[in-house]
Amino acid sequence: MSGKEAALVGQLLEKTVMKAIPWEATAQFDHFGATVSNVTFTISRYDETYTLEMRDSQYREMLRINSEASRELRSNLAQLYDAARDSALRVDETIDSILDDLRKVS
Amino acid sequence: MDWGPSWQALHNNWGNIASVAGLVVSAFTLWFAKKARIAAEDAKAAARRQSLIDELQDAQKKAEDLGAYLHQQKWEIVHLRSQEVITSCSQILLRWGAESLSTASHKNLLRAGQQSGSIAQIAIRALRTPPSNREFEDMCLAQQKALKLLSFEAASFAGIIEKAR
Repeated sequence: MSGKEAALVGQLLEKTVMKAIPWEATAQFDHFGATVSNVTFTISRYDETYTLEMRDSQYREMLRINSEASRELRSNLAQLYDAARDSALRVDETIDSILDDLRKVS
Repeated sequence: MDWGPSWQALHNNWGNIASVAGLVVSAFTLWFAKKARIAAEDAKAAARRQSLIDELQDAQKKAEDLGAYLHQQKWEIVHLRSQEVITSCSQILLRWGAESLSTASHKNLLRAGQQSGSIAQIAIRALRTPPSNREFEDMCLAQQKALKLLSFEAASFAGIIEKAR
């Protein structure tokens, strides 16, 4: 994997954690999608393998990064997957809302 | 009233008066030409916007059909229809690009294409193995998202045209 690809995964992870990139669920189980500039990204998990796909506006696959390439990449893709999943399922917002409701319960 | 001095003045300054009259006529001609050009450009822009709305409504119709075939579990047609939605979104993005579409519209079309693409992936597998209940529900949700995004874009552009009228 090239340095550019590693940088791409790192940036996607950073911006997702900052909530600057919203992800959403797709029809495929354990697949989450996001759009950045003119491309779409899909992060998916199958067994313990994580895959990041980048497609252009014609839905052609431009890039596919697999977690089996290196240990460092695996860690970053797993973190990206978790962050994307949290973003798509609005985990943080839901927990905040539940905490608010619980605080109101006397 | 004695018209003599007036006729004399007119006679003496005929060239100047004709020049001024010519200038006024030229100014009016320019003004009308400019108005006509602006009207023609407005009509052209309105026709282009209408064409974009037609394409968005066509994509919306395809997404609606996709939902109908999805509920009938006709996987071959679901696959074809989802590919058609992707193609429609791609063509709109290619044809209209940044000049007519805002960043938000651009993203919405990409998202609609992505959701349809995920349906296509399952539909092609469903030809061999029927999807689980969970997968079927996720396909329905993805179709609804794509339809909602396309309907929103078609309605937004139709609203812009209505306001311009």
